[in-house]
Amino acid sequence: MHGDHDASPDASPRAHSMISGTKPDWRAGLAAVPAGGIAVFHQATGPLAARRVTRALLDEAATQGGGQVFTFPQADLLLGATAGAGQRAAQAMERLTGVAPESFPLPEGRADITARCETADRSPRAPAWSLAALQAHCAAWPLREAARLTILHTGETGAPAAQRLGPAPVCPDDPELEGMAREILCRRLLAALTNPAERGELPALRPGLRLILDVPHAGPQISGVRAGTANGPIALLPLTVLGDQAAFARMDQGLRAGGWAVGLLAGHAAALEWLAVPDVTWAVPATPAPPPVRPPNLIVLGHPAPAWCQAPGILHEAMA
Amino acid sequence: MNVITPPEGSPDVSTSLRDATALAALARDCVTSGVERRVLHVRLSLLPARLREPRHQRLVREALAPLLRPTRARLYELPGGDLVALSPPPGEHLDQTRLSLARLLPDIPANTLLPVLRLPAEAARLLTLVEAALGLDEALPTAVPPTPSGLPPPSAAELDAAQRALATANLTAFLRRQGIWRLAPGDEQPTPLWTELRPFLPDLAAALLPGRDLSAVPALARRFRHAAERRMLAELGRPQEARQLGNACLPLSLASVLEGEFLRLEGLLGPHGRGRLMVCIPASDLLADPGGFALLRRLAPERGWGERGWGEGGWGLALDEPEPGLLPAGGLPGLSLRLRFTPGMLAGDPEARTRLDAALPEDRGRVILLGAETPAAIAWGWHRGITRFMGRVLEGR
Repeated sequence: MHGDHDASPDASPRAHSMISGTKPDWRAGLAAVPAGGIAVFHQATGPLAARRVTRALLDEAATQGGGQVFTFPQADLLLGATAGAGQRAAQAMERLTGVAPESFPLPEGRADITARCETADRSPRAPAWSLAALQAHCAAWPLREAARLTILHTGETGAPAAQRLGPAPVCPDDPELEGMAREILCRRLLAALTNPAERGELPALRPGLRLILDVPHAGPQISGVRAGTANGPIALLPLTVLGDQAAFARMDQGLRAGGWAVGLLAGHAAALEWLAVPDVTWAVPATPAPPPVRPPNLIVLGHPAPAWCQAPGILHEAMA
Repeated sequence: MNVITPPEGSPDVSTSLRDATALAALARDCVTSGVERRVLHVRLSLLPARLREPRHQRLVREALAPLLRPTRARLYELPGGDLVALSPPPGEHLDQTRLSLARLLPDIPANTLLPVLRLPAEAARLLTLVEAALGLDEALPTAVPPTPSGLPPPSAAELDAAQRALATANLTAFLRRQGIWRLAPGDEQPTPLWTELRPFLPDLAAALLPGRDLSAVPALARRFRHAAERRMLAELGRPQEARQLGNACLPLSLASVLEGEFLRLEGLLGPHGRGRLMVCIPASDLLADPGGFALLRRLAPERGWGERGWGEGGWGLALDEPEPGLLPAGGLPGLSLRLRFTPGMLAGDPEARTRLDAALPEDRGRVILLGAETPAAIAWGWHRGITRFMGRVLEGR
């Protein structure tokens, strides 16, 4: 990626010493915490950016309240000498991410925290990509694996109603790299769709289901399969196309003339609150609660779909 | 890096701007009230440079004196150097003065150099000339849209290498500082508010990626910017540097704000330092990473960014240059806005003007006008209640 220090979501001097020198042992750290201390365990599954922020809060608590922060492939642990600083950090983390980390008073919670850390030690580390490696990977990845077909169900009846053909995620925890990977894979996908020799590499489309096709920034540049129908295929564009409003207006017009409906793929449902684009279908990752602003046409991505997706105008992946 | 000091300088722009707006208001008043006035426009801006030295200015003022003294006519000084004198009809003094000025400046015919206007009949003409004066300084270079250089973009491997080089580079020579000022109508002097600090990317790209053009591939340009900003933030994040940061405005990509380097600096600043900090994010970044932007919108108030900024609070997070029409009317709650002035905004069609005005936050104290290179930009801002500016016109010429 950018350099060695990027392999970890944090590049603080403390983290450096852990990576380059001998790895400090969380067991020794745990044994050294005085009574009245605290363990704050944060399972970091989301984007790297959010993990850097929560990690910074834990580091601050360790500086202010005394203690140490330990890094696992997909988790961070604060062992704090005093409970107050750790509790404040945990509360701030919940306000920022919506999810509270687990807090254990010490020594009472020693068995619990030991179990968490032993599991965390065994979890795999996400790969760190250089740009060149990412490009090479996306260019060479067999389409059989790189293309995904997802069946989408209506919110009213739960019956299959549409199918999304799009690229598989490459580095979902880094929106910038994922955007670049998506661009390359979408271009390959489009090329394969129009090339009989490659078509067989793609998953077979289900007849009768509306097609939702992930397309690159420049649009599909082919006409819709069933031009002129109200239920034509949806071209799913990355949200960054809105960066140039005039260009988006031109593309929107061209797509509709070519028989496409226009969809926008957002990295987070929060975008629905900020951006009002008339007459498009939005695709957003699932959130536990319904978004405060719900557009008339919404695709909720992610499996299993949350229960609030059982509503008119929503397409979703299979329920649990 | 060292202490960030507000740029020095005492711009003289305020007086001429005040005069220009006062003159425009007076022209409108004459129309409403029907009061007649005669206007002598002394177009000193037409004179060649050899006739615009202080001694010439003195002679012109002396020639104007007989007009001003007996009639108590007021003299207005416009941006660009033109003078405007008003007197009630019939205006014999005005005619005499005009004759003596014409003798003093025979190089240009009096009809061109010394036009006379009648109010209220020719109010529109007067307003036009005031507007023209406000734009006179546009002889300064204005933003030219980037032209394709014809150079190829860097390859992924080249960009990876540039990023590695950046990780240890000394950026001191590539940092740019520029003041953000408050200048309200009636202010004698602009007040420095923040100092903007950023790596100057064109020079940096020329040094690290010679013969390559980043602008053609926005994703690569964004990545290069990200790496440069991380390096700058690592340097700012040394304890002695962080202590001296002061009222800093950091324009950063969203990805850079959510990096370890920035978060470490932010932690070092402490509540007091964070209260004086403003972070500006390019509006396009909220499209590329809406989740990260949502997190940032919670982070800024949680950590108290900008809360001590001039007793107004909530200045900590701003959006840079959103496309008109992208965001809802009035902008996003709690966010400040940095808007770039372009001369086209003066001429803009009514529809574009309405769209732009609608996008401004109701609290105009939350708006900063960038690119204030000419008095016209200040006048445009004032017209909309904007009093915070960044640009050459304020930096003392």
